[in-house]
Amino acid sequence: MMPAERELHSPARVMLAVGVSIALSAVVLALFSKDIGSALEQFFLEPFSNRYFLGNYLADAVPLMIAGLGVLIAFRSKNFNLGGEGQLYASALAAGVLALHLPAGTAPFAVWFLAALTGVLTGAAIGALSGLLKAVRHVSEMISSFLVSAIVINVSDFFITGPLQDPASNFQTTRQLAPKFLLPRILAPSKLDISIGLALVLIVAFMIVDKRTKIGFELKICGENEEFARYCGIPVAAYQIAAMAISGGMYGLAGALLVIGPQGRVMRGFSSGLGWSAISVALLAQGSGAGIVPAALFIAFLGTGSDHVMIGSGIPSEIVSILQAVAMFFITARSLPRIWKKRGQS
Amino acid sequence: MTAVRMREISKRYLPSGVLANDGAELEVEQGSIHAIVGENGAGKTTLMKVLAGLELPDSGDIEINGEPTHISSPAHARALGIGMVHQHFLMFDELSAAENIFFGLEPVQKPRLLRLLGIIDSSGLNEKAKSLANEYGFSIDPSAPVGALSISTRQQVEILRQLAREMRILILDEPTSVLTEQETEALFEKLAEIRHMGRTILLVTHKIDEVMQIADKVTVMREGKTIGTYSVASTSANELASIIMGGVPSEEIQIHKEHAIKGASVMRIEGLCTHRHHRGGVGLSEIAFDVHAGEVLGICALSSNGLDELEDVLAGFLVPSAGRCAFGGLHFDVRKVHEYRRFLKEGKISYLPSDRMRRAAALSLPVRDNFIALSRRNYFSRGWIRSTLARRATQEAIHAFDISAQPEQMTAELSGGNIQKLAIARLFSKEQPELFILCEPTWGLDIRSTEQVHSRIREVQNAGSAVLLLSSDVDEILTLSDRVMVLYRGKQVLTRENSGYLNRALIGEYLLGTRSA
Repeated sequence: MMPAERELHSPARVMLAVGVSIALSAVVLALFSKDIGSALEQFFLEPFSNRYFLGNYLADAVPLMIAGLGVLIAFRSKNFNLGGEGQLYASALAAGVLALHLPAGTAPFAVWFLAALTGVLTGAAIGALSGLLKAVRHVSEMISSFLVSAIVINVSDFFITGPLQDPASNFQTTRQLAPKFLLPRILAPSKLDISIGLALVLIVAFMIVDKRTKIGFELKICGENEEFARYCGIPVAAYQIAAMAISGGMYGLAGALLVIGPQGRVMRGFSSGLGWSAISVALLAQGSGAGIVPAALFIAFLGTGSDHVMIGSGIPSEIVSILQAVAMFFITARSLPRIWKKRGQS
Repeated sequence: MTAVRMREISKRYLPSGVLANDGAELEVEQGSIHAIVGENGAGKTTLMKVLAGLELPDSGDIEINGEPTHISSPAHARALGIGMVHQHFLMFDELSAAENIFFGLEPVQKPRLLRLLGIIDSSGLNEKAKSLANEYGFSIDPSAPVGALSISTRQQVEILRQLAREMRILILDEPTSVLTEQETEALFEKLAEIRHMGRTILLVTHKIDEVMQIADKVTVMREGKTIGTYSVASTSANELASIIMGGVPSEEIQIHKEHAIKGASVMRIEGLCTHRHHRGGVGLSEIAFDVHAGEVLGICALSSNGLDELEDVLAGFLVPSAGRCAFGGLHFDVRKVHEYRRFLKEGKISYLPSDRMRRAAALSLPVRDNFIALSRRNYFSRGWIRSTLARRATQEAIHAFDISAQPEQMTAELSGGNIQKLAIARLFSKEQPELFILCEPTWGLDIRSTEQVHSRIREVQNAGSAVLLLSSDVDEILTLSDRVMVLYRGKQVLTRENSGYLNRALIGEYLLGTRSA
């Protein structure tokens, strides 16, 4: 058991997974595009080719960093939050509604703060529900968070298409926030805003808490061996609830920052798979806080790159799903290196 | 014919760099029982793991039945007919005993359709497990989930699993450390029979009397090296002991007990009962005892007679069904576990778990983290870790308790004995509590470490702590206890001063239920 767990943390494995999925992306592109050369260029180079593309690419990575960090914290305590989609969506809606109802004269900073706080609290409440069910009733947090999320998504859909629908819009969406309530952009005209700074600060803060504080230490022990944690007198149930709440809260923050940032409103289907991509990010980061940044950049790159080929070469957007699946397959498949090892010997 | 030949085996654990095997040698005759002995951390288990394909050596050659081989995986070792019964059980907690024993060899349903679908004939599986267990004189419930079984029953399942696979070379890593005397006898009879059938048994052990009783040859290891291989017939137990200890004569065991001054009552338990079936046990009924400052109360039982349940109640892990407790001037209902757990948390009670792998360590964290986990108040100041202090304290404990480890080393890399020593060091490095609850404190420890632990227990006793010693080792109970209590089928059948009246044989009769109070 132990050697297998150590293998999972090997950076070489991750690099291999990343390498293979990039190579496979190239193969898929070659299969589906008429002009391979330009498709490859659009996929690999275009996202970095100018300020606008680069900014948009980085902006896509920001919510992945924040939500991915939340998933990672839950992983630390062996909790699996599968409710990210609903947590992010509902929190974004709550933050959006609040921002829409604040008086026009409110200071922008206050709007950002209150919207972010609302997002965090909404997500944390939904996440904590699953933590509470696990601690008190021994309900699997994976199942409860997933099911609660499914409910929350439908309820949010109802509000956006019903009471909160923007009457002036042809889309199923809430009204647009006032431009002065949106976060200041960097690398204009791209949609990248100052929230990237917050994401990096949160990651560094997590790394410090993890390495140097009692809370980080106790969380780690809960995750490694629950019985040992109880022996040490660590309040295991409290950490279970807290880990799920933090994880939900981070999803909520990611959602709120999208509303007061790049999106400016809450459209139906707002989360658009971010909840799942954040899990990919956490898995790719292999339990390391610092690993979140490259992991989010990679997952965002897969999405951005395929968007570029889709527009430039008319390749179906579904290939991004295939590519992500391939990446996840290689990261999570523990047995592959062993099979290879054996082949090498015989 | 030589069944196993290992030459110049070296294995360094990374990233800590600990050299577990340093050119170790081993040669085992086919059809013999070959013991491997040495102190904790001598490299016995690592060498066996190399043989079983669980660790790849950095260098060295292996020959199995004269064929040079490179054992690359446990599956490869199995294909060569090498099976290992681990000291720390590697099994599926959620599956039943029978499913664990026959994992991968399950009989399938008779009707062809069901057979095609690979549906397991679970009643047939239980039957098979039952008859296998009977054949070897073990008593297990084949349908019980393994995670719910006591530590000794789980070990029996582990042994049966290898026996079911008919391995030609069977490695047993400290198989008797958790077996009762009768179970040990039954196992040894069977081992002798297996040897008779031309199979080879490798026995890793600390117990010299077992080596003398059953082994043909014995290899002594120290600090990762092979000291020598000796024929048991031409070696005496004393010679062997001095070879193991490196020529240094062991300190005489102080059988004679100074009569410590008995102080005030520290803890009193009355009418303690638990429900049946916790961890497959018998349940406790109407247990009552008190323990005084400066006194060791030894509580002894064979496996599945209530010792596990008593440990779990005293550890705050199991909510009893009835009982009262007096501690620290408070009287309370033992069902209010929160009240009781507070004393453990505040450090008034220090508890050493018997199951060191599951309850006493987080194996995938470094030794330092395991060491400081129980005294977080000392090693964190306002929530921030005091890493220099933590490292220094860990280093000191490693030195004081003679543990083969580094503070940064992964705990999983330590030998079982060293993990036990770490758990003990952690407990005795804390501020002295009013009460120690020590469960099987010397399981798997070599002679020297056992003596060290015993003298530590005497020290804290003389310093005025009360000690509850839960142990299935009668010698240990008699050596250390002021009073002795025996449990049989969850009932208290003996509570008595440890004076000249009590001896091994008499306690044995109470343990086996042939005599009662």
